[in-house]
Amino acid sequence: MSERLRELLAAADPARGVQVGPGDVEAVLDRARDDVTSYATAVPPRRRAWWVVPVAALAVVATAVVVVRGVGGPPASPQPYLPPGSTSESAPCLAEIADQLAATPYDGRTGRYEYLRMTWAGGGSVEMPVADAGMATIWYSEETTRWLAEDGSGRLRQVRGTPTYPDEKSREYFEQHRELTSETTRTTELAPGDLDVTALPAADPTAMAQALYRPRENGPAQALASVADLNRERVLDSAHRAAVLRFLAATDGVVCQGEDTDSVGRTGVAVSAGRGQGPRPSPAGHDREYLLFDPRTGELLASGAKTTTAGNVEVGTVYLERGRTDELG
Amino acid sequence: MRDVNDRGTDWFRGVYARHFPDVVRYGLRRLDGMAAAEELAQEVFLVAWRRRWEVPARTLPWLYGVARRLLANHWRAQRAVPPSGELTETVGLDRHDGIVRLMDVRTALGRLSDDDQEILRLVGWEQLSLREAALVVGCGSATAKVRLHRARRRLAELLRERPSPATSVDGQLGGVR
Repeated sequence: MSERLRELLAAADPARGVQVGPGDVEAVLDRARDDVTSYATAVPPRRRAWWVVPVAALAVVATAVVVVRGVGGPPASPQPYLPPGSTSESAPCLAEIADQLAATPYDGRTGRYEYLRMTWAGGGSVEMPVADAGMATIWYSEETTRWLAEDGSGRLRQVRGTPTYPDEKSREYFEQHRELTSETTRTTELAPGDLDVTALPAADPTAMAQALYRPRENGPAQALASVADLNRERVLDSAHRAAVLRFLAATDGVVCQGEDTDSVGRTGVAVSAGRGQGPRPSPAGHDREYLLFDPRTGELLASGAKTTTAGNVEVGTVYLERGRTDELG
Repeated sequence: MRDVNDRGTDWFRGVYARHFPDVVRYGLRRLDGMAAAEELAQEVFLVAWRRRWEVPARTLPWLYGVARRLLANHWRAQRAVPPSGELTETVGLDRHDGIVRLMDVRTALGRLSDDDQEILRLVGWEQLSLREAALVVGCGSATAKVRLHRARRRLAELLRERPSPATSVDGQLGGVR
């Protein structure tokens, strides 16, 4: 960041020069005492990392991987993948998809660019200049289309959708101050090196676990969030999609949620996992990370959050279209 | 690094004392006033106590991540509030050059997307590294780098535009979150 911009930002910092008191730590501990779950100081037993495998089991895993790579078309396993030491899958619905994975039109195709089109929820809030008027909030969906080459070059197009507002005063404020909402379409040409191209982990569940389930202390929701992130960066071929599905299927805490339909009418298989689950879960409701997969191809259709296992889904990203192409659009 | 066995109330009081002011400042930059910011901070530390086995060595970015998710819940809860139907009066505003300058930066920030604003705030105000900011926002480092690059460029472009002098009482001033 340039020095000038840093200075300007620093000068605009709402917390600049503000003295913060010491707070009240005892109030926090008092509230925690009312928790239903016991927070006794017993430390949870240290678990051996599940990817540290006994040698005999490793041989079994290696064989399974060789079988998968030997198949020319979409990979199929004779039996579901299980990490060594586990007795059952956490999310068998995903293993089922991996077992019967169908090819997409772009599997096996070559092209200079990976093409990805998706929408996500954006928005912002502004403090209204009238005293005590509070915040005006605007929501919009943004569609991003991206062509990305191996060297980080390509093109990015962002189209902002029709705004919505939580209340009348927000609507009025933004309609009176149209200069506050930026242009609705922006195209950015990317030169080589402009984007770091995220490396794809190897197409096997162990590699996916090691690359994506980080940090472990965030619990299984981290695995889902990382898969969503990977899908925002890269286009996965069938081998990688199968590996992701098998990795998630074997991840403790990932739960099958049946079928769901996304905002563009596609029906998929949903999974979720609780956020931030340690060994002493809070009785208060936590959000759940949510993913929706195409039951035929295993492509990720949508990602977002749920309020509870049975609750509403707040979709963050909808993955509309993927491909490989030599042409910028 | 302290043994995780050691995470009792003494450990927690130390974490709170070290990081409470920074978490309050995070809230001040995104909420309306000190009371709201302190309330957010108390919620953040309650979560930290309940999940104390998970708190990593690099504690502050983790606390910011908790704060960000709590704020997201707060904005989501606002969506459940029915429209108030009140009309806001437009009021004339004084424009001192110094204040206009600060408001230019905040107004310009407000024109960026929410995620772009957050990356810029985390790097510019919370002084996080790009990698830490990516963890807080929940995206990959590569995505964070693009966002920062784009946000920085856009902010610089917007600040080069001079706001046209207001001839009506509708000013461009407004604090930005």
